[in-house]
Amino acid sequence: MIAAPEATPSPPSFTVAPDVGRAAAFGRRSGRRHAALAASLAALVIVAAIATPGAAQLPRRYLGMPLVEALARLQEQGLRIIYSSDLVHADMKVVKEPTGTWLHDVLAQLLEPHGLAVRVGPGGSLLVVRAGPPPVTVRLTSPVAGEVTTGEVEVTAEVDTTERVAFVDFFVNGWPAARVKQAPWSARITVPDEGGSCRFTVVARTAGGGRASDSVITRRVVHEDRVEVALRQVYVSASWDRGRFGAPPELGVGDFHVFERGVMQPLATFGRGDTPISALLLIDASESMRGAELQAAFDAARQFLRQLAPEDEAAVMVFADRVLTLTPFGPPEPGLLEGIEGTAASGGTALDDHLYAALRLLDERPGRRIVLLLSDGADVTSTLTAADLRWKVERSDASIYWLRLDRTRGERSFASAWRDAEGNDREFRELAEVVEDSGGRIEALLPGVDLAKAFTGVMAELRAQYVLGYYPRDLKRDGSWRSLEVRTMPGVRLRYRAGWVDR
Amino acid sequence: MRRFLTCALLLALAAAVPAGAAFREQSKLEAAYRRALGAWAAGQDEDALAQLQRLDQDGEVGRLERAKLAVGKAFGRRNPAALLAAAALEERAYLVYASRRPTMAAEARHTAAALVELHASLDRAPAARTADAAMLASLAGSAAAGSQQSAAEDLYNRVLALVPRQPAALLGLAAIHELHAQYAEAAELLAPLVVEHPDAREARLRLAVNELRLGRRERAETNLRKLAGDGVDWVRSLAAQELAKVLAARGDFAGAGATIDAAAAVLPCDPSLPVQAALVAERAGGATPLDLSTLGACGEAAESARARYTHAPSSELVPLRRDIAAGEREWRQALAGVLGVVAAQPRVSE
Repeated sequence: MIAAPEATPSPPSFTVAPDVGRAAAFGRRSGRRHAALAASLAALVIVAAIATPGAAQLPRRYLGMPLVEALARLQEQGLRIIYSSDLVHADMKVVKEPTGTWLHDVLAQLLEPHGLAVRVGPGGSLLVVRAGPPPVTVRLTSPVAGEVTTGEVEVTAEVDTTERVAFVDFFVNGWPAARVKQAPWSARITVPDEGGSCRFTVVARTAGGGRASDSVITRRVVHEDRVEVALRQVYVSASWDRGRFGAPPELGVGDFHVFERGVMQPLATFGRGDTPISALLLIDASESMRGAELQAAFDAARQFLRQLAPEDEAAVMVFADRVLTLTPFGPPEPGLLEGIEGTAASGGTALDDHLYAALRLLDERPGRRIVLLLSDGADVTSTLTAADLRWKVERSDASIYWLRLDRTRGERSFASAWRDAEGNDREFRELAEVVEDSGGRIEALLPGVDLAKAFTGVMAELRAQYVLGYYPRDLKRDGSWRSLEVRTMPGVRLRYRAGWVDR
Repeated sequence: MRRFLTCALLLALAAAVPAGAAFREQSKLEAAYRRALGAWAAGQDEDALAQLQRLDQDGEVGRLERAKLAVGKAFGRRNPAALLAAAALEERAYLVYASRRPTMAAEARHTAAALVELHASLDRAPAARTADAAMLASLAGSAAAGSQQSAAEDLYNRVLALVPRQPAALLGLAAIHELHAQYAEAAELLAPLVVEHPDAREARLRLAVNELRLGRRERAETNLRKLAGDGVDWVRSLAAQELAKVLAARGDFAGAGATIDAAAAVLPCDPSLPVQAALVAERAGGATPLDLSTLGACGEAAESARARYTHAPSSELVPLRRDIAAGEREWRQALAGVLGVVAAQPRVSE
């Protein structure tokens, strides 16, 4: 809505002549008798024009107005301004009256005293960004380049800035390893046991949004005498088959039969729900999740983290068409979401790309790996496809649980610049299959549904899962597909991953 | 006799009242529109928009358009350039209404286009024609950005009627064809554009992508290779991504990886590149890590080239809108002249 400007008693700053003149001329043509009437009408029109509230306005004064309100006014006048509440706080006020005539100048002048600037975004939108925060530099002081690193390594950085440091992130080979929020800027990080070199990166971020990074490359000791542990674990969820509700019966080790490529495998281990979980919460914060939905997602994620056990671990990735926030894996505390909940929804959805990133991040984690995806996901901006994801899922041990906010109630057809409606439908169906093949599932949530309840449902399912272990025979490491089938008593439906790649 | 005269007068008045009411309503609308235009000409943008909004939300659509065009015709004869200023106000109003007031937005769009076409009928000079085409293309771009594809298509076609092969219209229409999966039609529009404007990188990219879809692999690959090896923009990133897909599909993972790495070296803040690099390396049997630390360091500078392509094309609209902004001051002066108001002056600090 455009806010109607206040009426002012000031005289108009322009004159209204031609049409009134035309009205008067029309009056003259109507004859002498009506001349007085026409003249009166014309006069009335003029009086009405002058008396109309808002007919003439003094230039809008912004000084002292909350900045948010000033931006809203500019938006109402046609500027497509996009800003984050992280940058424009409710308590910011206009400290200097803008002198520009053109709206873009006014916008720039409103923002400048707050250290903010404008950047032209997609489709002519105007993005409010920080205008060059005070400089910050960061240097990795330990380990040093070329040093041999193995096992747990103390990583230390020095940060130089006049601003408050918000946090320092440490990455190993590009993967988040630790976040430190106060000095000293150091963390103990376990180096992955892989051959070759190892790259440590530090990214420091100041409260004002300044960023700096530094990297060093070290050498790793390669343990050639690794013991190959070939135990395959299959996570199985059981429920009643169609038509029956309630908890399924307790199943014992004798109730399960595992077949790999059609050949029955003797079970070596049997457990239930007690394998520690590595969970990656993947939260869609694209434009369509703006507002209450994103907040509800964060609330539900907090609930989910509370329900994880102390021996579990979790990380959170918030994404749109890019990664908006990513935490390292750590104990599943609600504090993990600290600083993330202010993330503003923006941009399109690159679901496939970020599902792949999540699976890659989980490759190196221990225990039962799950991706818990919360998205209303209509993917039009991923560079990867569902076929790429299928390839990855077949080589990953992680299961995907997708809580899908279904605004369209099943009607998903839409065309995009990359695919026609049929292509998008096909892509969606394949993605759904990939999720199911991972041993996870999709839960379609209608608008207004209790998200926390859905998260709790996933947790209950994970805790009730059976864990069947067996030693596969004839491992060839040839990239071949080993399909799986698990059978049990009639009337019980099992869900598990479709197989795995021998590599 | 007096009684007869009174009756005749009453009868005449009874007949004149409805026509008079309509006339008064029309005059009122026209006067209100002139006031809004007066504020616009005087540089009081927000007042102009607020006045126009009051008019637009209160007025009946058909009558409103008639009133606005009547005003436009009246002053357009005196100085046609003033019509472009009025059209610019309507386009600004369209942007304001677009997301929340569809009826008002449609009226503003129709009126803006009608005012531009009125201008085109009054001033047939080549420069005026170029300006008309630019205004309509800008309006079409705004409509396309707001997912009003059929309105955008109609406006782009009107642009081409004025200036055949206008780049923004060709590009915009091609993007609409892509949305309708009409890839051959899109390529047909883009091919002459690329010949005439070899520096139009977005058009070259869209042409290559559509040629790929049409199975013209060799030509598409050549063009993608050129775009992926040159420039520092989102076009380079996307060309590299598409080329890498082509190479990976035929098993050339080394070539795909090199293409992506070269693009990532100059465009570290495109979020798709590290993801695709990691997948290509993994498929090749390597262990290249997925590097998300670069993206962490990019912050708000991270921009998805693929998302840019998904939006309505804007690259050809940028120079065009710059020209419009440059011309707008002059148009507003013309509007001020025909309305008899003081033209926009730089606002003095109070």
